[in-house]
Amino acid sequence: MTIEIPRSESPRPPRARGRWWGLAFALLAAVPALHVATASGYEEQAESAWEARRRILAAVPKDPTILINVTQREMPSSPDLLQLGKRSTAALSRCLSDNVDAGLRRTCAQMLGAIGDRAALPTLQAALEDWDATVRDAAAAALARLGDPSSVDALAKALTRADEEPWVQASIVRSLGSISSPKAVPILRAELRRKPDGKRPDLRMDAFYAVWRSRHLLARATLEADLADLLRGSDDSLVLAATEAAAEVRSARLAPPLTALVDHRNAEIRNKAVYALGRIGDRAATRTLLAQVPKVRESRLLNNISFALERLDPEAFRPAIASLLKHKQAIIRLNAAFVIGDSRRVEGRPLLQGALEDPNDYVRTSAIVALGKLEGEESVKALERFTQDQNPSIREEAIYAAYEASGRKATGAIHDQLFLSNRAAVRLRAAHVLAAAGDPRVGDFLLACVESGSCAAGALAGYFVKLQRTDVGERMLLAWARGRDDLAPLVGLLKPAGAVPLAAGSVDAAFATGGEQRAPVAIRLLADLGDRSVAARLAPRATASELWLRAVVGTTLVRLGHGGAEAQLVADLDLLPQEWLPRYSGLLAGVAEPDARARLTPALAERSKKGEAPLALAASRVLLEWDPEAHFPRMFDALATGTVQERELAEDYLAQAEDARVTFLLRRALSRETRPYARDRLRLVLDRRG
Amino acid sequence: MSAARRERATHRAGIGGGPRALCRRMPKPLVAACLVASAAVACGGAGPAGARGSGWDVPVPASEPREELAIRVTLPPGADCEERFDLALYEHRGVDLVTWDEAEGCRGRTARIRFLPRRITRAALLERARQLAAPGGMEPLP
Repeated sequence: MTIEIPRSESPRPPRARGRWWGLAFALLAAVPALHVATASGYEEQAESAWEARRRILAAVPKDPTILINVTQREMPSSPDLLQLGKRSTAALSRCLSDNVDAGLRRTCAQMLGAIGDRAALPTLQAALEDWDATVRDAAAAALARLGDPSSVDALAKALTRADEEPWVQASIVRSLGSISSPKAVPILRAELRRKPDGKRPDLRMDAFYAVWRSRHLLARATLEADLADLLRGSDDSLVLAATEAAAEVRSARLAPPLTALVDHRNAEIRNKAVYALGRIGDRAATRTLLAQVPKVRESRLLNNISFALERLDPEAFRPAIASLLKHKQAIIRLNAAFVIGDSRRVEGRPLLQGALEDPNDYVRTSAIVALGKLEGEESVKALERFTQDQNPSIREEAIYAAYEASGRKATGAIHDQLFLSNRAAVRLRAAHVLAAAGDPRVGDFLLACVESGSCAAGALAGYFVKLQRTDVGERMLLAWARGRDDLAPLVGLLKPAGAVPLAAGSVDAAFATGGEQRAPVAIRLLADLGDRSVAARLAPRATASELWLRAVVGTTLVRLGHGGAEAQLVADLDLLPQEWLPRYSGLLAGVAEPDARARLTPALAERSKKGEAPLALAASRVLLEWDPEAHFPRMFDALATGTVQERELAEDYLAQAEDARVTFLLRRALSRETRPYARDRLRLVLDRRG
Repeated sequence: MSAARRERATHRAGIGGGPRALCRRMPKPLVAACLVASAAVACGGAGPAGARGSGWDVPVPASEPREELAIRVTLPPGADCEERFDLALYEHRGVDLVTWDEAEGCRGRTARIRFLPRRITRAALLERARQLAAPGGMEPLP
């Protein structure tokens, strides 16, 4: 028999009792830690993520260590950090080297690249050894943007690591191509020549573009030999890239390998090869191109062949194109007529006159448009009978073509037959052509068109200004006040009565209601209106924390003659991320007032001569827009003799310059230029300007 | 062979000529001036009407006088007629800047040619423009 002892009454063994005491002591010991944890949790809840970001952002310029321990939650946004410009370099560098979060390190590397401060070079170079591949990739890309030759050794070493990810290696190769170092070129050319063997990734495309960007460091003959080898290769991507490059290099040495590509299976390569041959202008290619003409089956290739032949051998071109005008397929005849028109040679007129008798309406229309491009009385006479054609499309094109061929003189038919038509699309097109000719009869129509949003105001601004009608300005002001921000530049040009108080009130209202996104438009309008009395009212906004708002206010104050505003503009320019310099310099370039330019010029001229390339060229860009002749030499020097970064920036700035004199200066430079790479770039810029 | 005979032989053979050889035959006081002249030639300071220059565009000092010529011109037709005219005209370093009206096309265009009268005369410039225009397609404007 067994006796059951109730559990509640069973005595606890001494060891079990001791265990409970142990647990109690452990709990007591944990109290301070729990308190800290609870308190810190309480603090995190007390400080919102937004507040934490604000606190950290404020500390970034002063405390280089502030980003070491931040989490994703606390990290200020990239635009906020970029607004600090070079003042955030030190903190971002420490973030890249010391933060344990790979995602944050990557972000910091990206921002260091965008800022472009050379002080970050050692940290970025060291980050090529980061444990995380995405960080190494971001570091390589950032080093590319800084374009400093001191990075070559670190990049070259990173490229040789057998355990590196292929996409990081590609990034490193691209970076080597952007730093303008003669030491990098052999590495890149070796990579370009390396045949894929399955062991190493195929980096040839990246190597090609890297070599291409550094091409000014190569002897011309070496570049041509490399391109010729690639043109004879079997990799379509590389062949295509080399074909595009050959069109820029325009060496007769490349004509034979290009000629072999004109019947390549890849249509893109065929077209680019024909185009390149046309640019090179080697007559040896004529026979091959002529042989292609009867076989051609696509309009693009036909056009490329025709343009190439027209350059290589106009005498051989005309019989070939004449035969195409008799081709059995209408689409070929249509394209042949188009090509003759675009060549703009009057020798093509008899061919087009023949095509006017084509049974196909589309071919006839193409011939009519083409004849319009061959100016002269003969073209006008040939087109006359079609201006009364029964087919409205033919009639319309004939009227425009006759107008073009007459040197844009007689607008009567455009007005009477097209603008007074009851077809909306026909009227609209006619109205724009008449406006370009300065015809006041279409003013009301176009005004209503702009008000309804069907016509773009920018294209018609010059016309409306020439009209000199007060009601145009008044109606544009009304539309702007109703929310049409796109009309602000036109209102600024027309300067209607009442615009200044309305714009100034609009600025105040925008700030008062937190709708600051509309403020810049109204502030710029105040600058365009040029009433200096509003400067004092705007001045308090010059210290806005948002950089772009500050920049708009600053440029407006400078334009309105408010003293001291230029100092803040230049101070911001000095610290700006290099990525933002093109936009910022564009804003400064818009300063039109001579006295404002005079006040900004000394500081910009100083920066254009020394300092880091992005800043120097941004300053030069502003000066180029203000006085192209005086400041063209600086930009031209960067284009012809600079680093990769300088050449590319100068190319962009010269291509975008608004003043037509830049085109004339580029032509003068091209005419006298004997350095091959400088000639190439000048040609490129002129082509981009169109 | 005497020095004089050697010099004549050298002259007949067509070697050793030029300013330096000439300097060697000159009295010493003239040598310095001769060297300066040689340097000037080497640097392109002389030459036909300043047509040649360095291998690229270089700014002309603001102090050098400029004049302007306005012309109405019809250009040989072509998609790039205006640019072709400019590129050919700029080959002469006496042409400082060619600016065009806003019109398009090749007929009846107006161009203003700023030039350096120390390097090219107005008459020579007009003749050059006439050669580059379509036949009978150039007239100077007042």
